[in-house]
Amino acid sequence: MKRNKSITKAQLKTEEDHLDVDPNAMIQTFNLSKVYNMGQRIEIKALDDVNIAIRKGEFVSVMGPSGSGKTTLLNLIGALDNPTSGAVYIDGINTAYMNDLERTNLRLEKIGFIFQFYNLVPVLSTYENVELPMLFADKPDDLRKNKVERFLKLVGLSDRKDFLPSELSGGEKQRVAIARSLSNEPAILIADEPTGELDTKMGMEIIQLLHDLNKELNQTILMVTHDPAVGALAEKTFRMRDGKIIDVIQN
Amino acid sequence: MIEKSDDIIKMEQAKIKKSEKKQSKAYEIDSHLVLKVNNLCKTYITGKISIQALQDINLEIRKGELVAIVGPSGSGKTTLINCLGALDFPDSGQIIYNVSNNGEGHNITEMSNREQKYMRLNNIGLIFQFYNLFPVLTAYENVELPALIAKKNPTLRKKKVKDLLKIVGLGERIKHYPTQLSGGEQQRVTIARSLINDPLLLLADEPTGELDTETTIQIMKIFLHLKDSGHSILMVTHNNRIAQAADRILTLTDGKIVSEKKAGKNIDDVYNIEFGGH
Repeated sequence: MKRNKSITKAQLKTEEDHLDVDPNAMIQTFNLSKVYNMGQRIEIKALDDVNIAIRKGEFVSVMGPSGSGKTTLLNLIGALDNPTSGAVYIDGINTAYMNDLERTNLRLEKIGFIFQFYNLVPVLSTYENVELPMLFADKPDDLRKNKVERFLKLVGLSDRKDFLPSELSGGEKQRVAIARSLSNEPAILIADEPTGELDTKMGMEIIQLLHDLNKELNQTILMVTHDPAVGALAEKTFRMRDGKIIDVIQN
Repeated sequence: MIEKSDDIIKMEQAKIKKSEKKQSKAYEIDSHLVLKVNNLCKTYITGKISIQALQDINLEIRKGELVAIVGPSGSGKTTLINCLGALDFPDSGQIIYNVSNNGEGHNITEMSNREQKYMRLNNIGLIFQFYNLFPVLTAYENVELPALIAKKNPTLRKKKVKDLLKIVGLGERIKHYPTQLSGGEQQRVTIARSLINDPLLLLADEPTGELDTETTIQIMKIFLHLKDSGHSILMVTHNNRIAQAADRILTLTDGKIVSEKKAGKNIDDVYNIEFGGH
């Protein structure tokens, strides 16, 4: 990942935070909280004072029952939602200080996302789905073609490039989603229940693929899962309950 | 300049006459018929069992018409929508868009993959039950997506995205992500997205399947507003109440259209009767 040499406003402001930033952390949160107001007087603390640090190149899983705050945590780290209080640092910068453009670049260039329901565009082919984030990042034609073909090969779908999502199995769809998440070669991969819709064999294949990518591209991976067998395959597991991290397990 | 011989001039004149004839034919297109489906059949084979998902389906949709297809689960509703949207392929029959008086038009069952792709991107707007928004893109970017892929002019594109988000009542939410929007709001984004390339027909598969009653009525009102401004919509639904507000209701059972009736009731009346004025 190329670092921008000029110091941005977000960087300057971040330095004024005077928080205890771990220099080896790719992702770090400080007292991160998210409160949802349901109706007039009911408040739900989806995330309650979460402090975590994830090293560069680390593969971490987050486990916990439904409603424990796992997805909220991912959305906040991925800058898809704003915290009620606290801060998220990505590669040493507080995301709250980023302007719209910097946030867009963060989502397009630095973080790749995969989801339980794949979120492929149904009317686009495998090839086109993978190409999409590069189209948004305005990458030149040659580079796009090159990368799409490379990543489809990496996930083993070169022979499926003209297929529509409706013509693929669940495992294949998730592979397309993984290839898509790689298209801008992000430093971080965020995966929300990537095996949630797959049988055990396919699920394990997907996790193996994530492992390979983690090693090959030195990606930092943060994965939410319900499945203890899947969660245990990560280097470290954060266990969550009622919006809090209750345990950290080295696997 | 080389002088043309009389023969060549005659031939060229004949050519021009021919093309004029062709053009006048083009003007005869019945703009009122946006879709005509003839004898559509589709069978799925799983192991030794074959299931007739669609049996001899015939239907027509006119411009500015809102048609609802109702029927139980497994009756073939989604298969039908997928075939009409060129996402699935029938075994036999015709699906013709923009039909002229002599019954000719764009028959997607005879098209190449490339032509089908063009149809899907430019002529058919698809809306699904689970919204299918791109979670890492804002409402604005999600609506812009099909126009970006179709390489539409950037200035026009930007204006259109904003206009469409205003039409669906999300003018103030353009920078929000799907996670920051309610289910009804996400569905409104997909409706705006389906309209971005000016499709001939909107195909909606259970558009209110995940929504509460109040939000369902809101979404249906958006469809009715679109219909009044000339859009043609085919909607598959479980909800027999909202179907009453469509112009026509087709009932699908075991892959066959078993009944067709006129509806066109006022959406507020439908719900008022149902809930006794509450």
